[in-house]
Amino acid sequence: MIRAKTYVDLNGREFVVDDLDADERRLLQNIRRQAQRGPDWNAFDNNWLPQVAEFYRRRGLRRRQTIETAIFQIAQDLSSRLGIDQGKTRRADYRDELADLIQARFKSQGEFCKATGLSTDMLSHVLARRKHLGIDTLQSALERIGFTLRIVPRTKAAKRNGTHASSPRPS
Amino acid sequence: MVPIRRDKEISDGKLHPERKWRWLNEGLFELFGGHTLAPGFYQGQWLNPKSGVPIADESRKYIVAVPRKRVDELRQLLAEACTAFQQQAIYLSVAGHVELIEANT
Repeated sequence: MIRAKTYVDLNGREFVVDDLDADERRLLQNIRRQAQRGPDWNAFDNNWLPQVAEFYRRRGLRRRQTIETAIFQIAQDLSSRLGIDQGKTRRADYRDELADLIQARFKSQGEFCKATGLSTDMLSHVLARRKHLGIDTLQSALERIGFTLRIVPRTKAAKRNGTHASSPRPS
Repeated sequence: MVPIRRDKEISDGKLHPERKWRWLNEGLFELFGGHTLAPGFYQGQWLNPKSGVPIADESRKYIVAVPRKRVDELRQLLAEACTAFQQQAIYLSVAGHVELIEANT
């Protein structure tokens, strides 16, 4: 079986590169080459965004539609990898996801704790990165609010002190 | 100016997860069609008016073209960014006039 070429981002989302048309693949290849040269994080962002914006503007896409394209998302991911390489940002972990979930769906940490059965003290320590939740505890808490854990493929970590963005697999 | 670390007084002073930068980039692009980042990172210090304590930080400087009548939309996005990036305030300069944008309460 021939497996389609895919790009897996830092959050495990998979983009099928083979689904892109020829012009999109050319644009993506160009952006990936730029990232592989290991430019300054800000310089890379200044470079790819206007290219992608103009490319899809010519195709009549609205900005929200452009954001949702695979190329926009992959370019954002390449940017993230550069920022991580350069020590200016970091990969998110489950505590960041918990914080985002609380912010998006609950009025307060207290309300989240009431819904999940977690203690406010424990949650405070977890979000402050002083403690971890056990997997069983986390799974059980999430199930009470209609969420679950899942295992996703981890892409190569960004190289520390490296000059190149990590190569997504396989390309 | 968006500091690259969470505020030490209200949070833990750690680097932001990459998803926060993605959120900001997407917000600026959707609202205003994009932005430019000034080269490098800005080392600065500001005096917290509440505690009187000077706070050092390192920031990315975003330059955004915004029509005058839409500056409030930028203020609103930055108020949301205060929460997302766990900042007490975010520095905004509009045509040379400096404002500190705080999170919505």
